Amino acid sequence: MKTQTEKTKAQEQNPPETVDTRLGPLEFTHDFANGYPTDETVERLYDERDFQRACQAYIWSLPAVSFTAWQRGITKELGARNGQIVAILSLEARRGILTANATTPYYLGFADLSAGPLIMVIPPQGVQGGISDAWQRTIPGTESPGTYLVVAPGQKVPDDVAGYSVRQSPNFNIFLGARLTDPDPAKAKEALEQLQMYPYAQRDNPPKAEILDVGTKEWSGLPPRGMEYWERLDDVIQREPLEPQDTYFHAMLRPLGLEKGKPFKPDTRQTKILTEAALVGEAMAKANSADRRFAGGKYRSDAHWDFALQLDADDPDAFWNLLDERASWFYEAVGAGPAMAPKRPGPSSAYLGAYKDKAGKWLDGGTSYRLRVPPNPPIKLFWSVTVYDVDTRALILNEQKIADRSSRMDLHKNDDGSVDIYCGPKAPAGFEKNWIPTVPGKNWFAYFRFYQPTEAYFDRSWPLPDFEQV
Amino acid sequence: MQNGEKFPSVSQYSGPVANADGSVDIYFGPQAPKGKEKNWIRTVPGKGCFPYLRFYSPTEVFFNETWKPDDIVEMN
Repeated sequence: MKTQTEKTKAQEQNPPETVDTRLGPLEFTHDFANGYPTDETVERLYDERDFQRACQAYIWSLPAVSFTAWQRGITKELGARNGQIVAILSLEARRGILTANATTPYYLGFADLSAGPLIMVIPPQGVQGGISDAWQRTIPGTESPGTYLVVAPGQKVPDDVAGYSVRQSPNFNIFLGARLTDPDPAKAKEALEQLQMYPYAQRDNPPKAEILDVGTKEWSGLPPRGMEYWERLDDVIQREPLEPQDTYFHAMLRPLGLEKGKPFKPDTRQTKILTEAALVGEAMAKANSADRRFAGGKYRSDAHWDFALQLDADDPDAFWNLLDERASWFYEAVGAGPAMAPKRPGPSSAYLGAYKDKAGKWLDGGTSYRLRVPPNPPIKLFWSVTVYDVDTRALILNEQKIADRSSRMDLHKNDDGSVDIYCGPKAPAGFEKNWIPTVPGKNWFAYFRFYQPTEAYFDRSWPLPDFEQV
Repeated sequence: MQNGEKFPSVSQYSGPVANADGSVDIYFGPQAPKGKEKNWIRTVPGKGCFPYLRFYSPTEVFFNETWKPDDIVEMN
């Protein structure tokens, strides 16, 4: 009993404690273990909890928000009807898409299945296509030619499905991406005219397949900043089913006013937290893409080039659970499938990204660089170097309207077969054809694309050096 | 809570004294108010604490919230 009394006396001396943390000082009524947080500290803890969750929600939601922003641009800004195929060919129009390439034509369309199942036709020849869902996951079995009936969750498969291949979409909004494979323009046109999506309800009298050519119209399918980011995420939450792997993210977003079945009307406190988290979440995503810190990110140890897409072509489904790898791609790019991260030769393309120069400094629009592309590039079709704005992650906006250089172009070659690509505000004399103009005051990054890469890419025996300051 | 007592609790089994109307006052603090020893739970200076009020086999007035306990109020 005596010791107990002494102990009790000692505890009477237990004064309030302030603990210094990364959140600032946290104040407790006694020491941390024995006390409660003061009212002010409780407020701080809830604000911080919600802020941290919102930052992580930004990183988690990138594929779906990006999809929704893209769909919105195509339907609301460009006026495409539900399912209509859009042609995006000009440099101006391509700037509406995250890291679009500057070379191959884009034919794509978005469809909302909420009104009922949809028919999708991929013609037997001349087009390579496939559909992905609202999280940009490829829907299995949609990549070969055929007439598909796509059914959304909870929808009844029609009784008469003769002539259709039935495919189940895990959510209500889908994307059709297609690439023309026939080099003959007349045959390509013929194939394009058969490519379409329309509601099953219109099967007896399908709408005329009219491709909407965007021309040089400027538009944006890019994920927005600020509160608009969360408005697009709310679109996803309201429209799409809650998937089991996302349960906790939904739970964490509820105190921020984002909840399925409830209108998103953030109060002052929620707005302040969400606005700041859209910025910090994006800053984290930027670091996660431009300075990747997961294993196996680099093409070779002797240069800074990263594999832009960390998808294992032999196990593509696993990619969707790799939160950081997934975010590193979807912060700056769209769509993901095995044909974009090949492990062996075939009809595919591979993507490397560079953000830093040889000296380890961020690539900058006010500095001039040379990239020496060594001889014997490991490609069956062609390679290209494309420069992107850090701000938009879209093709660089410069006066010259030049965003890429590729082996399909008439480039100046060195005697040994190597090719020097110059990036900088001014063209080096005599190398105008090898130059991509950059803009002072803005950082940039580059993608090196291999169309149908060959063995020396897969075994990494072909070196690709860094950009070097000149 | 380690307060030097065998159990830091008051229950119908421990025999608290009821008021004339059948209500029961429970006292919390480092010292028992005079004459209220059977209704008292000792607390320890320098430590935060919180109570649980347990209902074993609760009945209808618990679920329809017509029976409600008072908040804990500070005494002079």
